[in-house]
Amino acid sequence: MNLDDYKSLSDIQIMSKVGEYDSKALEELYDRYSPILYSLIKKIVEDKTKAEEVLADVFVLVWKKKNSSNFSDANVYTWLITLARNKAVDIRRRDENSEEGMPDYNEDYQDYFIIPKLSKSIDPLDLNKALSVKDNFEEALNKLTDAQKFVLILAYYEGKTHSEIAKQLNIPVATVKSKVKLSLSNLKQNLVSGE
Amino acid sequence: MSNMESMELLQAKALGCLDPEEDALFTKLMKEDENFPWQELGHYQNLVAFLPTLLDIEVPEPEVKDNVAQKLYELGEKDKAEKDEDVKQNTIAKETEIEEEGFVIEDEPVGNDELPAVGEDLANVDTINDGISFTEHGPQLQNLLNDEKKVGQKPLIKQQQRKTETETIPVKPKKGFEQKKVKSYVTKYPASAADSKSKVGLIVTVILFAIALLAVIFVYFNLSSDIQENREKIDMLERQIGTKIILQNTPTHKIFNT
Repeated sequence: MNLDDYKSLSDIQIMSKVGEYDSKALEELYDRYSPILYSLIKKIVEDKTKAEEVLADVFVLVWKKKNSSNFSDANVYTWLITLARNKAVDIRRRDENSEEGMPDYNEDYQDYFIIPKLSKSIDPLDLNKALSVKDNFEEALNKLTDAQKFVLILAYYEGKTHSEIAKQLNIPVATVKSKVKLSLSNLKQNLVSGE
Repeated sequence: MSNMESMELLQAKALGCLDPEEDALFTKLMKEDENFPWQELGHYQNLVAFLPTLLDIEVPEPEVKDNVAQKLYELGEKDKAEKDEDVKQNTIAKETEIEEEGFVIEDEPVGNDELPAVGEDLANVDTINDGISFTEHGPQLQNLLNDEKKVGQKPLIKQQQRKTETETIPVKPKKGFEQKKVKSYVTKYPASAADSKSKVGLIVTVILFAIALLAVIFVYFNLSSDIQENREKIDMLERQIGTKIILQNTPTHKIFNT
């Protein structure tokens, strides 16, 4: 099976081959996903060299943890996006805090905070499908208030927690919690009604 | 935390902004609550994962792919080293186990009367000396030996596999994760002794040739300068001879007058 044959495989088929130590499958996964993962990581760490390093680490993690998730009924897209986001946020937080007060990065930490734990019941989603709803998603996001969008950005791209957002915006934690809840609920609602 | 509270934090969990304490409680609930809203969580996880699709998509530099391949190669080498170390540790542990169980063979002389007669089947001899039963411990010992053989064979098999990889990989022309492996093998594993000898021989030949060439050039210039010198001497002598002849054939007063 040459590399071109892998292009016709689905994300789940590719991931299952990666689980069988097929390095060509991992290469195809890289070719397919590296642009979106790199863009996400770069947005979070805000540095090209660091983003490249994190991207490489993400694919090493994919190889190492290839059998830690059952992809037969899960979705590779959300798993990879969440993995890259968690890894990049961890690097950003360590840079911001100069690793002081941050727990040691070891296997346990990695398994708990970096490796995604997707829901047992999650709809399948692959890169093509995700990109195909991009316009609808953008429309749904634009219907949110600026405050709701801002909270989403702080949480997702800057890796801030409830209490950190509250501190930054000088508002109560309860307010932040309700803003986060409301913004995602509205986003979901807007997306469903827009389809 | 009740189911109601978990619903409150569902979106924040999907967005990844729970504080550590909230996250620990939420994880506990995921494990323990039979009525956990898995489907809701799945919806929000997918929803949040749409966010990066709105970014300006950039393609990473090609070197990043090489970097991934290099890291994977190093990871593989590390795993191999760890496995080899485990095998070594297991072997040592088993040897220790043998000693602890009393399988120590002492070189005590055996009396002639205790030796089996020539041709007697050794398997029928149950005890020798202090009553150590070979037929009793024999199967265990055999198993241990077999285990050791298996353990000892593993690295050989790995070496063969490595050899096969290095032989097959250069055929692949395309640059990728496997191609990177080729590069790494080239740098990690030195050339064979024969190769290095032939290289040294080649280098020595080149140096000797260069020295010989320099020697020839040096001799040529030396000889040509000598020849030139000799020619000049000959010319001078010819001139002197010519002058003498003229002087001899010319009267003295003519010489002074000219």
